[in-house]
Amino acid sequence: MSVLQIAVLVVLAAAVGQLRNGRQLAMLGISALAVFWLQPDEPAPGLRFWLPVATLGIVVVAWILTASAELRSRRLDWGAALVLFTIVVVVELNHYFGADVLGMAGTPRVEMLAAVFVGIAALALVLARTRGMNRIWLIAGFVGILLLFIMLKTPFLENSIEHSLLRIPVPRAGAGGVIPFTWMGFSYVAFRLLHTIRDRLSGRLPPVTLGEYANYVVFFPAFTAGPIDRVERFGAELRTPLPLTNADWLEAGTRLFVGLFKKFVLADLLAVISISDPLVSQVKSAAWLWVFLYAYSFRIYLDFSGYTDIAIGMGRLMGIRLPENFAAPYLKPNVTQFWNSWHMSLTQWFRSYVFNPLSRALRSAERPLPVWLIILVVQISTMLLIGLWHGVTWGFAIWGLWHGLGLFVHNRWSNFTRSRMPAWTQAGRGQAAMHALGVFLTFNFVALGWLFFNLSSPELAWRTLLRLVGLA
Amino acid sequence: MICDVRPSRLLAKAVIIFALLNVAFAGLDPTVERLSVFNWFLPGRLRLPIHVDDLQASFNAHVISGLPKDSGEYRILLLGDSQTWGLRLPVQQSLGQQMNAMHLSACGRKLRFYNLALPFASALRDFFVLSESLKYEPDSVVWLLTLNSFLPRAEPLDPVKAQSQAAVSLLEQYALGRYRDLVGPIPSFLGRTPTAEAGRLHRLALLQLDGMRWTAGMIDFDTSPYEPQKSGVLDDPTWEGFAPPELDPAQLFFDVVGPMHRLAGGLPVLVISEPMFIAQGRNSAIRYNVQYPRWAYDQYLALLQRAAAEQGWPYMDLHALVADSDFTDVPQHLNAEGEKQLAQAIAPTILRMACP
Repeated sequence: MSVLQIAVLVVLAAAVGQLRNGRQLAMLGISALAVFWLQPDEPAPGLRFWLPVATLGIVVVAWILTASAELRSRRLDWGAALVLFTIVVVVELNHYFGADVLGMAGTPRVEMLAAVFVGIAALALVLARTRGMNRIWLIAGFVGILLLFIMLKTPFLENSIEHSLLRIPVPRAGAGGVIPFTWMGFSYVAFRLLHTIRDRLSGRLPPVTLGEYANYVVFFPAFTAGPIDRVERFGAELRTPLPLTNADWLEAGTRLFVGLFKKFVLADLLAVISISDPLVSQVKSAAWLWVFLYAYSFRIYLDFSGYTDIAIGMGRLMGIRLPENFAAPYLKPNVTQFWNSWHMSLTQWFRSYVFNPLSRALRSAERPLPVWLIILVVQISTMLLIGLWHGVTWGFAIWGLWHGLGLFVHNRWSNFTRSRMPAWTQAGRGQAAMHALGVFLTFNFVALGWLFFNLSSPELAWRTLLRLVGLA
Repeated sequence: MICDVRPSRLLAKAVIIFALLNVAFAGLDPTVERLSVFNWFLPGRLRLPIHVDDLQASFNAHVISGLPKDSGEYRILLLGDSQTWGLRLPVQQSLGQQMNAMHLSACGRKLRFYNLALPFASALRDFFVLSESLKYEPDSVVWLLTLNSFLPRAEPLDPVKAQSQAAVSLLEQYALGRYRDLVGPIPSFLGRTPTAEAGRLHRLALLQLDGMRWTAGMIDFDTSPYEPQKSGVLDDPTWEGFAPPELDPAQLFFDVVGPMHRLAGGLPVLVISEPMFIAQGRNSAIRYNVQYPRWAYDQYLALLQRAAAEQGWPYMDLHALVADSDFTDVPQHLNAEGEKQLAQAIAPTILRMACP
């Protein structure tokens, strides 16, 4: 998001926060518009329109899948459906009036859009008429979203979709200015949808209207960079009319200011000296490489947590408390605590849907594995998947493994030392020194892990790591 | 307690303080461009930084501003465009460093070359660069030009816009006032506030941070892949809106040459028509390359030779010096071998200038 986009959305959020009635629908309208507005330019012009339409279409279909029968027919939902329909039609009408609303003057012809609406309506009808097959539809929806997510995150598959299915020409080698294919917000949208479908399958999903559901999935402050809330928590916030207090205004203003400063001043400055492929290949000194690695470590934190602050501040202006995503992660004395304070909403998601179920399954097996092996398998699997969530590449996979192993080693180490640590490390200066040592080691462990996350190949990351520690 | 604070009053106070800080900054008009980490905390750069849009700040980052001239040095400034700057080449392979690597000396003094070129050719921008560099006591100047250097356009003048007041004064002093619009408006009081200058201040901060990359590995630009030159060109005979048969020098920057001569004073200036890629394929009888039709470029060569002669400056026509294979992405950009050939071609003339 640019500063201008954030400024406009902040003003809109403040206005929505003042509404006594219709807050939900106003939020939904802005969120739906934001889905179009925040979508960047695409290599094929039509995609700038169709990807947001697909996002909204998937949200509606997912709601039909997950909502109970009586909710599907509630009058309240027609308002939300009308808002979504109106926003899509308004953006589409650019084509006919030659207007350039949201930079989408080249929207497709209305017949194509009508066909999409008819398709969604027909699907809704089929789903309604086959209520007995609801579980099958839910599983199909879950698998479908997961597959789509995997395809978009796998460079090879994504390229195939881009060039074969969407007929986007392959850029010539060395040609500059190639616009990348980006489905804005889909990583977060997909995980919110998977959460609701999974909870519906297990019977834990509370009843939510289309308005609540769509607001939850595409809530504009959290659309591009999270946090990933839980629908029951978000729905409760939406339903509770919260007159804004002075404390809310102050909190919102502070978070917005801090977030903007982190993202657009600190992170953007650090970007110049953040470790990168060209820097690694041209810089000979390991000391400078450490400087650039630290710069990247702080940059990624400031960038991401800055966006989270902005999202939380905007949400607060509308009376919505979004969950925290960061809690001073680089000041944590071990890697377990680091992961309890870094991208917390994502790790919470994986804890709920991967770590805990997998742990339970392994522990309750007929011939359970040794505890240490269960911990190893579960932590590595979870962190591997968190790595792959960022993209199905070797770099992200190794980054996940790096942290999985780190968590396992810390778990075993703390288990081993629990009763063996000398008394001087348990209080006073000794404890403070141990804490500081822990912070130092954890930060550097995490920083070295960023090499696999940021550099273009694991080989380059490994060679750089060896140079950093003086082994190459 | 935080809840006792009234947001509206807090906001009002914040707005007032913000406005006061802006007014104070604009009133004091501090020369922030003089703040530089280069040449004391970090080593000075061997080329002017690009994308800075502030000539003063760029010079403060350059090694020339931190290196006092000693009696054994013969100081030569290289003025020009991206070819002289060495775009797409590490600084060690750029013209200035290739010449320094030749370890030339004349009449007991060591020749030291300073790369003061900037991407985007412009004779008028070079006029400002020369003006800024005179305080560093040059002994001679090598001025590398191409036809585009004489195209009246504003973009290459971005670096002087930050000091547009001084730029306009200089233009008027040298009877070039007709170009004052190209250097941008003189900022009003509001235009000097940090809010209005946020972009420039941000770039200045980035320049200082970028010094770490420079110190660590002499990195001063980001490499990216490129498409090599094509041997065939379009049959379009026009150049930037000029059509054959006559290239009117009155519509170009040729009137900058005289003021440049006055500005240089007695400094010897070697004028060079810089090497360019010459296409050999389709339509090469019409155009030299994608940038220049033959008729326009040939007339420019004659005009430049005449202009140099009028000022009594030595002139070298090197437009066909370098083979096609030693160019990179655009008709002016040389590879390391091309820059080396250029350095070797001009070295004898410079030696003669240094020790007549």
